[in-house]
Amino acid sequence: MVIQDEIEFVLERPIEYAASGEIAKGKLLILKAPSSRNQKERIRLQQGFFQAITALKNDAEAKKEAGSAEIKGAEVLALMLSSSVDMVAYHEDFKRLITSGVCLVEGSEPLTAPLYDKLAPDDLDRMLGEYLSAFILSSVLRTLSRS
Amino acid sequence: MFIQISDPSVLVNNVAVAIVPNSLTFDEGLGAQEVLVQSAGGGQLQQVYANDVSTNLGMIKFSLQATKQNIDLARSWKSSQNRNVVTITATNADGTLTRSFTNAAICNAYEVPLSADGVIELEFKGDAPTT
Repeated sequence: MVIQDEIEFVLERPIEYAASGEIAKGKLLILKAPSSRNQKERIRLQQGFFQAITALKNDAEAKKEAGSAEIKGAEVLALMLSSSVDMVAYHEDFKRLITSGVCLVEGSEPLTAPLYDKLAPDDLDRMLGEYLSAFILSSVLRTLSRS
Repeated sequence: MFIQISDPSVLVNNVAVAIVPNSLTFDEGLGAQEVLVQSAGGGQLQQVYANDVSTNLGMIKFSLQATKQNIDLARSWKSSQNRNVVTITATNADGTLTRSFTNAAICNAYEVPLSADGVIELEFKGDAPTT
């Protein structure tokens, strides 16, 4: 599994944002890997994922899916939603992480809390899954794929 | 019954800002107009409507408490010259009011009072606001 520094994420519903004094429409988000500054949120998100797969440990197919090193964002989200993890609190942790400077709209403007609130629910769900898959779970998935 | 708008949300460059209550005022940027008269002779008068486009500027002013964070924010907006965007949104039972001021600059030489009740008064001028 290749560890990435950043990934591109394209919104299905662009958002309006301020850039250089003008209002622009942003469609492309650059998602960057969290740093040690985001340790608290990162660990909470990892922990939530672990709780989800532990709860589903009797489901062999789900465990196999979770243990795959090629797990995709949509699969991560489906796994999380089917678990007993509090997804409302999980989203709040994700919001704190993603609005801390690790996401840039069109590669320039940081995604702030007001911009996050403009995101369409479907985009938000997809972004959560992709971000977890690319950065938060990468170390967990490596461990699982080895076991 | 109608409700006076008094509690707007303020965003400057995509960042939510907490302001001093009741300190926000804005100008729609519709400018000043004048109604003049011209004489056609024989007692005939004609009205001339004049639009002073030099006044077609948006303006928004509000005050911030003099906290470290706000002092730094004000300084960064001033440094951005006219590359700021200020958006206000106010929602109540009557509906939602939104205005966005693009290409906005802090034009006043604002003071930073370091006192218990001191506030920073900021005045932005920019394009006439969009709704």
